[in-house]
Amino acid sequence: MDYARNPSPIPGRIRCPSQPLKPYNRSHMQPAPSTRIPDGFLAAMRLEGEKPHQGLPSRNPAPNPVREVCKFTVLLGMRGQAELNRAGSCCTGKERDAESGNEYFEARYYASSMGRFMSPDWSAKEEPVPYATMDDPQSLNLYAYVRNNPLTRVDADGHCAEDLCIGEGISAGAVGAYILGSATLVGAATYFNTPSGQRSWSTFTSATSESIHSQVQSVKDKVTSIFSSDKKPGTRGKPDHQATAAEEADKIGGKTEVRIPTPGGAKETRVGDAVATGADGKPTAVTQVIRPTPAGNIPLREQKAAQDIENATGVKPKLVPVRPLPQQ
Amino acid sequence: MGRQITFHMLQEDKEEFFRFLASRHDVFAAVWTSDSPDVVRCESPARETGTLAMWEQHPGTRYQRTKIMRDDGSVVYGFDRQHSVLEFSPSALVTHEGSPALLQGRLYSFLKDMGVETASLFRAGSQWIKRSFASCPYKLLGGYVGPAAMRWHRDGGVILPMFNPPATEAWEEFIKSQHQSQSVS
Repeated sequence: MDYARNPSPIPGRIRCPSQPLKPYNRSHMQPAPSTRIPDGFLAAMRLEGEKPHQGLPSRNPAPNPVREVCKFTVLLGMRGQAELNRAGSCCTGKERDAESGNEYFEARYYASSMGRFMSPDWSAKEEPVPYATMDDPQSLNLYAYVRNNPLTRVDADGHCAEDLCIGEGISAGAVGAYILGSATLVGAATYFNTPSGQRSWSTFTSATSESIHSQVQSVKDKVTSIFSSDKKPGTRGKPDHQATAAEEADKIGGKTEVRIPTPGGAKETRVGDAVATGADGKPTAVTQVIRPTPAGNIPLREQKAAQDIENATGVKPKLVPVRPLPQQ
Repeated sequence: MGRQITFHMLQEDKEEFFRFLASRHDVFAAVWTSDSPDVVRCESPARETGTLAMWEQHPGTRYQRTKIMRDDGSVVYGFDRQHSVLEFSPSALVTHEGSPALLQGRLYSFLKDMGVETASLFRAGSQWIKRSFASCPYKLLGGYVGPAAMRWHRDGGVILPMFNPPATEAWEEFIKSQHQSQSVS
């Protein structure tokens, strides 16, 4: 393979947008001049097991910054190249802040240049060492990414890591339950199509159906609570965000969390954190609660959301930084 | 965040909705904002045009509105969103570019864990809406459309999101698609 002309030997290699694409010469571990190498020489380079000290590139990844980037993504095949080449997202699928070069993990910013989070981990409920478990010393490092084990753990929201095996187990269980449930429903539908089935159905009272529904709801709530709690609010918005949105809605006499259709925008709909409308139904005020970047700027995604909302409603949203919850 | 179900309903649909809730639950409804912190029960919630707070009445339930200081210095009293109450925002009839239009309303709970009684009320209301109303034919809006509102829409009325949108090209395209579907049906 022509490494001098194509420094990306693995098909579909993903390169972060901020990393420059440079040809390199392995013998010197530095960028090489873009000279053309004779074809016969290139044929020799395709052989497996060539010797790096002879000045030829090998299959063994060199400690070159271009090659080091995103290697876990390639190995795990977590996302397709097309998706990751999306502007603003990077190896972990998280959005990269163009200004600081850090990845936004919702709860915290991750500095890929340093391989650590910019701030210690935190939880909504005050704890001396959040998410620490005494059987894992790595959990005591509040700046580390997925307890320094990215091969078996993922970080969904910038808080403590989740074990991939547990996630897969739960997913497999859910899929299994779904298939079993579907099969049962098909069988039941066949039965109720018969006259005797319909007679038995008529005795099935609404009280019973409500009872079943409440039990299903209870199970659903329990499953939901596994993935969403006060510590890990996920996409619900953190408690301080919710409280600030409610205060802002009260101030403008509006509603919280209003889904705003944004035809022609970057997304089909956006959620206005606080929206007030006049007597004629026209929006009079929109407030978006934002979490500024460490540099104190407005994140790009919030700017895009505000632009979409402005185009759809004709009202420029007021951007309000999230306020900390009062100490209890 | 919380849970909600969105809908388009005319007065007829609204009366049916509250009739159903009253038949199953002891619903306490009060206007969301007022000049007074004291909460007074609204005897005919279907006739109210503003946002209502609703909850299942049971012993020990007693709410008071909290004081809200607006940016312009004015004071108003409203329900605390941390209370276990539902917000009922009715649909409103407006005009959009000279055409009669109906804004979307919602039944909403700010809290995800709203307590057993309020959750039961929310479930009853949302299930009734899903059962009695038709799904909104426009994906952009989502939610459900009551029978009376659907008849009104088929007769030429425009259905809109929770706000009256500006006359931009994208929205005009959406309104045009509604008129086209009306002429087909």
